[in-house]
Amino acid sequence: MAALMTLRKLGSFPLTIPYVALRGISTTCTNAASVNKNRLHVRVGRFKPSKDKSIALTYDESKPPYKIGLEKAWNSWNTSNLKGETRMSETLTDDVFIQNFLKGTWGLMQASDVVIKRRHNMIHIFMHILPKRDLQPIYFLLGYSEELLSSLLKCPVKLELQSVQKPRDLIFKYI
Amino acid sequence: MAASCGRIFRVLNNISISQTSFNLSGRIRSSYSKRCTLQQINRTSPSLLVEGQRRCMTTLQADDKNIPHEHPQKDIQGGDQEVLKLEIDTTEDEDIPDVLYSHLCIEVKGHDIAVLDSYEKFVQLASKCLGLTGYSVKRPKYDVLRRSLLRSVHIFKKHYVQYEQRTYYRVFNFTRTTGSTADTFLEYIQRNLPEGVAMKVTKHRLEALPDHLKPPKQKESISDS
Repeated sequence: MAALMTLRKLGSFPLTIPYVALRGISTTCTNAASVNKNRLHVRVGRFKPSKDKSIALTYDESKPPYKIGLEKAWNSWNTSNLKGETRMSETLTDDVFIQNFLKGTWGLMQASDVVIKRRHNMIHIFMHILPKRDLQPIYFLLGYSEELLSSLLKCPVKLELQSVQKPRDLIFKYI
Repeated sequence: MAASCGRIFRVLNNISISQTSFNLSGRIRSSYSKRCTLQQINRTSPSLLVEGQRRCMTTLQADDKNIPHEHPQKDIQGGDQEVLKLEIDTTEDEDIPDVLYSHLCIEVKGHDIAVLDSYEKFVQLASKCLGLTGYSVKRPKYDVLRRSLLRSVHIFKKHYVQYEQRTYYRVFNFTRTTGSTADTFLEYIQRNLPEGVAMKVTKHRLEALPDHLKPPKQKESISDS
């Protein structure tokens, strides 16, 4: 979490997006020997441990990309990558757009990655937030996000938020 | 879902339907004789249909002309008194027979085999509850798309890493269903389709032979010799 927070402040793109946003891609490495071999070469989505264990990671961040599908789930659930299905690039672009939009709207109130699930023609977006004392702006931002995303993406968009009292609640591991 | 049947109940005055007993297949006769113009539209929720039955639609519309203000509870007997009449007229939809499907094929595909396994159980349970016959499931082999990339950043051309995308399939087959049963079942199945799972439905409909292909009718006067 701390690693991700520093990156956000710098304004750079979250690291875990390239692997986690793509659906249905799995690596060859399922048995232990090749897992050990390949994970040494994968540099994305992994954090170097610090000497004093000061880096805090959420559950998603602590799991490496080769554990997607095993101990970690995707951030985007859709049918575009199935065989014979279309709109692979449009869906991916829409996902990236949604993530950027929510990052800009919610900013530091956003506590976790955005999970996007597409059912029928609807888009369900799930997110953790750090609520402030005043709830009215949060309700406004919720309605604003839903309305604008619905009109921009031309389909019903539902934003489902879960609030987290302290940022420490989402921390899974210190490295 | 287009209602394959429609029944217009002409309820007289303010009489409640619960006072009369009726069955779905027949007409209601009652001793009330006053013609009413109230028609009620009351669409029922997609109910679990048994094969062969249809959804009922009752229509209620207020007619400006004859809305009498008498008390609805009328004495049944008595010829001189005005008595309410309850009639049920069926609409034209009743004459249109329900569509028949000889075969219903539902193909489902997804990336996760565990999700498809649980969806298969759900479809099996739903079909049992709704009384669909001829359920069978096939599990075709998954399709793979593999791409090879160099494992190392620099040199080591002999060593690669393969990434693959798998698409798992399930095919559900149902034989001999009616249109309304199929519509209800499919709507229930599709509402509960998990995200990341795609569905393709193929319906094989039974049609009457077209007129130009029917054999000519034998005349009664022709005698066999």
